[in-house]
Amino acid sequence: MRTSGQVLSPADIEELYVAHARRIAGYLMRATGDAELAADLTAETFAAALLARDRYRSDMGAPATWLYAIAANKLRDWRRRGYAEDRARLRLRIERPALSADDVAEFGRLADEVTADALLEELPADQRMALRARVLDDRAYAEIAVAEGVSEAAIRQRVSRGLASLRGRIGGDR
Amino acid sequence: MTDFFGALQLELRAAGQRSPRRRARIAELAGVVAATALVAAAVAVALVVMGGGEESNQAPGAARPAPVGTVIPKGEGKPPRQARSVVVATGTSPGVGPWQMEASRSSVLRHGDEVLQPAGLRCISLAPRGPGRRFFLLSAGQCGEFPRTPGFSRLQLPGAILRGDSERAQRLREKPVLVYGRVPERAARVVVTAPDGLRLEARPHEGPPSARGDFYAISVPRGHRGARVNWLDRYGKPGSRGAELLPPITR
Repeated sequence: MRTSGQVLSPADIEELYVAHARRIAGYLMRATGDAELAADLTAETFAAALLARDRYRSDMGAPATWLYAIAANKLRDWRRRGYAEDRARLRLRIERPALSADDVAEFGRLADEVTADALLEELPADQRMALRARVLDDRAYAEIAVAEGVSEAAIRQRVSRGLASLRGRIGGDR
Repeated sequence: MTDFFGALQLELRAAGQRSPRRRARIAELAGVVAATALVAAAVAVALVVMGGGEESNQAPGAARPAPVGTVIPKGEGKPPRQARSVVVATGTSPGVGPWQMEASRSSVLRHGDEVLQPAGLRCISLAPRGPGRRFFLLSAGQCGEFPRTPGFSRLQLPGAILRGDSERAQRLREKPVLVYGRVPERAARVVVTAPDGLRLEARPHEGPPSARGDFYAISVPRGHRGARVNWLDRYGKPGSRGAELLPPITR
């Protein structure tokens, strides 16, 4: 997949879909607890990614991070408005497939499939590094800051943002 | 992959090969959606079928309500469903008899180039299922959200469907009106109130796992001007601004 200096193509989005759709669906299912709603938001997330693919830049983080940011925005909109947006789907004339009983069960299973490593991989590189160093390796903020060549406050901020992101992905309120 | 993920992948692939609609068109479409939702609040997009017959007539398709969770495929049932429908609640109410409530997704409705109803809106309908009456109603429903009360909708079975001054018509017009709709899962009760002191409560029906939210149905007597319906959480706190009921309840 092209991730540097070039816009993503529809084929890249499909590649992202194959690699991440189920994990994103699990994330949305954990956050909403409703398979129909999670399906709406999953479809809208990828429709929005397809529409916005020429705005993706590699400095936004890995494509998966960018996708999660879109999913998180859709989730936030749903919480604010009370219903799932469908603007991107309408624009692209994408019909959200109906859920079968098997699909509903699958969404339930996906919500339970979560590992810390997988979630860490979805964070921006600076937050991932800071979280690994501070939480997993138990290194001091000052030590990490020296190693990274930034201030201690910057490292604290990255850890804080990384933890907030993880909480959101596990299904917390923010 | 299950059906959903495979089908969505195909939809995305097809969408990637065609141009998106222009934003202006979307704005028009959004207007239609908003209008649909607003109009839906006042006028249900109803499939009302009235007809004459003998007193002993059975309404077509009259049967006992199907169990909650029953899936009615597109094109099947009486009337034939326009989309795959799922039975989300059943019950028996005065003036209506046994009924089943169904949830589905809308199909696109066009008039020439104009989109009257986009595809994919959430729809809810209610079908009386008991023995037929002289004039019968197959199903009535509505698609779209109520923007001011997210997750909560208010529909009424059309009342006074029998015209005339016969004793039977007058008796029917005195029957309570069934108010029904979708309600958020955190709702503990649905309450109807009116300035004249009317207060009715009902517990929501829990739908099947695949359905979003819960569902309610409550019979409301006629003649209560200013009556409203709302939902309460488990602490008794109103969950939304509520919705006004419509004539003939408020007449």
